[in-house]
Amino acid sequence: MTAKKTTREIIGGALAGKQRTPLYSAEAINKLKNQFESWKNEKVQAKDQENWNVIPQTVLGSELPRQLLYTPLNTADFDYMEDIGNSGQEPFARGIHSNMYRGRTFTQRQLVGFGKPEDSNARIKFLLEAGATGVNLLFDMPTIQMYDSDDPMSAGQVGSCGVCIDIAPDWERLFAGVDIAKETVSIVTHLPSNCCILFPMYLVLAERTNVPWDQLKGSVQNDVTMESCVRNAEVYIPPKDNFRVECDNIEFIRTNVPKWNFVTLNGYNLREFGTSGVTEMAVAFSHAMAILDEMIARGHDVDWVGERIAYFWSPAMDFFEEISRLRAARRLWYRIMKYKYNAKNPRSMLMRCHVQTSGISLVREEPLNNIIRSAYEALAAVLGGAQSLHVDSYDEAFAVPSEESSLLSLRNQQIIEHETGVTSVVDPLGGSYYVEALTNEIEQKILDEITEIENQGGYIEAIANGYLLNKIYNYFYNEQKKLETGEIKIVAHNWQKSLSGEDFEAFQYPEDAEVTQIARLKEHRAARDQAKVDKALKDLLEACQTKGVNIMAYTLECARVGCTVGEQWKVFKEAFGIWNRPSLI
Amino acid sequence: MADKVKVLMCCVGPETHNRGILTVSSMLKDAGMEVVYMGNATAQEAIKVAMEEDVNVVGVSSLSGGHLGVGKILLELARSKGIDKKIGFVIGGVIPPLDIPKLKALGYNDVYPSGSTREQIINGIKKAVLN
Repeated sequence: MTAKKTTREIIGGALAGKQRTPLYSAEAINKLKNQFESWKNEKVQAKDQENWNVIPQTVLGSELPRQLLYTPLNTADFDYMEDIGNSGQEPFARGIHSNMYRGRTFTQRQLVGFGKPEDSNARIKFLLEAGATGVNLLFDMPTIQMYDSDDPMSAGQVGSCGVCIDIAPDWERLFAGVDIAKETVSIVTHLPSNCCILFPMYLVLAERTNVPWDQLKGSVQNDVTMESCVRNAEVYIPPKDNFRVECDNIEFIRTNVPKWNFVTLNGYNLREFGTSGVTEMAVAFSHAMAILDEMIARGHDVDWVGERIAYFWSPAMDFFEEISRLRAARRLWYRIMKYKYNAKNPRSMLMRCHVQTSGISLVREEPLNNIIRSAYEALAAVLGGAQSLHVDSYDEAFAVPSEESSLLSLRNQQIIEHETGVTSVVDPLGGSYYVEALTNEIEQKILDEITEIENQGGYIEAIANGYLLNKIYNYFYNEQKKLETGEIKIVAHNWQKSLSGEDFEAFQYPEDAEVTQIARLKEHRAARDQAKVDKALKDLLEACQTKGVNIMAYTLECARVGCTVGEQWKVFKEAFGIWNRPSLI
Repeated sequence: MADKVKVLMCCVGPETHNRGILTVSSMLKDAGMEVVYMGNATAQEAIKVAMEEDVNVVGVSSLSGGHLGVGKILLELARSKGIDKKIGFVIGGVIPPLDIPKLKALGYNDVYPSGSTREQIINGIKKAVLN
């Protein structure tokens, strides 16, 4: 039996057969090499020669060594058309569209979510009126974890850190006066399970407001990494069942809501949990490949799935690494789709992404400094060619953003777009000796980590056996020590320490969410047709227990007849059983 | 004071974030404490395990804005079981500055907003050992 080829081997094999046309002649490179050596010996001080490579110590950095100066020697065999090409052209390193932001600017999509549906509705409208170009919805902890607002588990948490949703009619309150046929809506259902329960409620909203499903535009997250690895939960269902739910969601949405992005591979929260930008991308790509393998096994065409896969990244503080990373990811995803999956539709080969500036890089001391941090991160995302952007707010180390700080974040994006001029030229850093060398190196590092995951026996196994969880834990505990020793510096936090911010008045959550939502649920349960609810839940249980049946068709019926979020999650737990996640402590 | 401090670490309610609780649990273990790691739990479950395991201190991690709500529920339950004077209670996470005195008024022995140092947490937990 021959061993299955790794992704690296497949791509390496395909590229090895290509004729390369280096941009620099051998003569020019040799001349430079000689002159560079003598320059280094004569002009560069001894201590700089010794410390030629330094490793930037930054929050969530990947610790790739950087040289003092980059020259054509770092990419001596650079082949412009093979290695980067023009924008909108294979291998897409320079951007997914030929005209990039001249054609369509990045979508300015600030997260919204707190309190009752009405509270969040007001914030959505406030941001749209202030010029936001998309909606981005976040749920409260009970909703994310699929407990009803009146569950004992939810007590004290309803409507904090997100909006509370229990039943389909809550969606009507959330979107009252917002045209869902017009706005693109990101529904941050991190988990396959809550996506399977919450997204059908959005479809019911469309039915009730007479918007055909094929007009709906937006995205869900639907990510097994989030449910089985990143989040903390009271109980978990087994990763393989969780992955089935994820793929059922993809299949159902692809078939019935054709313009919807059915999965947003969430590197962001994985990285914010505590890992490097390289691991973030290796994990998301490994996951995407697991989805493609499963969908192909289910009989679907690779392009049918591939053309709607989207990514979600976290740009942290290492400015050039973040820019290079987006370029590297676009090229690598293209190569994976082209050479491993033989995709035919160019759209399937595009690494399309939403990015959110890093929340964990923000601190409480002198909180206004966080605006500066987020601006650099957002600028890196734009220079890297992201499609959609959320800028974190300066008060996020204290609470969810106030109206004022949400507006500042939107303004941060608008200033980049309209005042700096950076959107007029595509991939402005392409061709930089440094950025091209770093792009190459990061692509190889991502491939190294994809190979590590493949050696675990595949993506779902790397979650199930605790490999991924342990890797992240080791990273963030090590990073914590570096913050304590000051090896990683954060201004005003552990360097030039400041106490300013200690009296900061954070956003106050509306206090009536829990009481209102519990009363509504009681009323709803009394008014609904209980026989229909019981039947829908029983049918859902059977669907979960039957291999080859798509679950989302059944959660849709549950949404229509008025089942709650919590009632459906109980069915999932009964059907799939409880998984004991590997322990770290 | 007990030879080895025993701490129950939990998030009360459906808290999804766990970098904080994992980091602090590891710090406590590195400092020679015994950690009973519960993860997410209802207040009832947390108090039950705290009593069964006979811990010195209960540490609560809250990053989603529920600290006052769940913080109150947990301490009221501890009081009703008569353990609030035997077991120390501390809470940490994303906690706005103006809520710190409110949490202390609820009965928390110490509060650790994000950015608290290893020393602050370890010394605070040692001081929170009541018996």
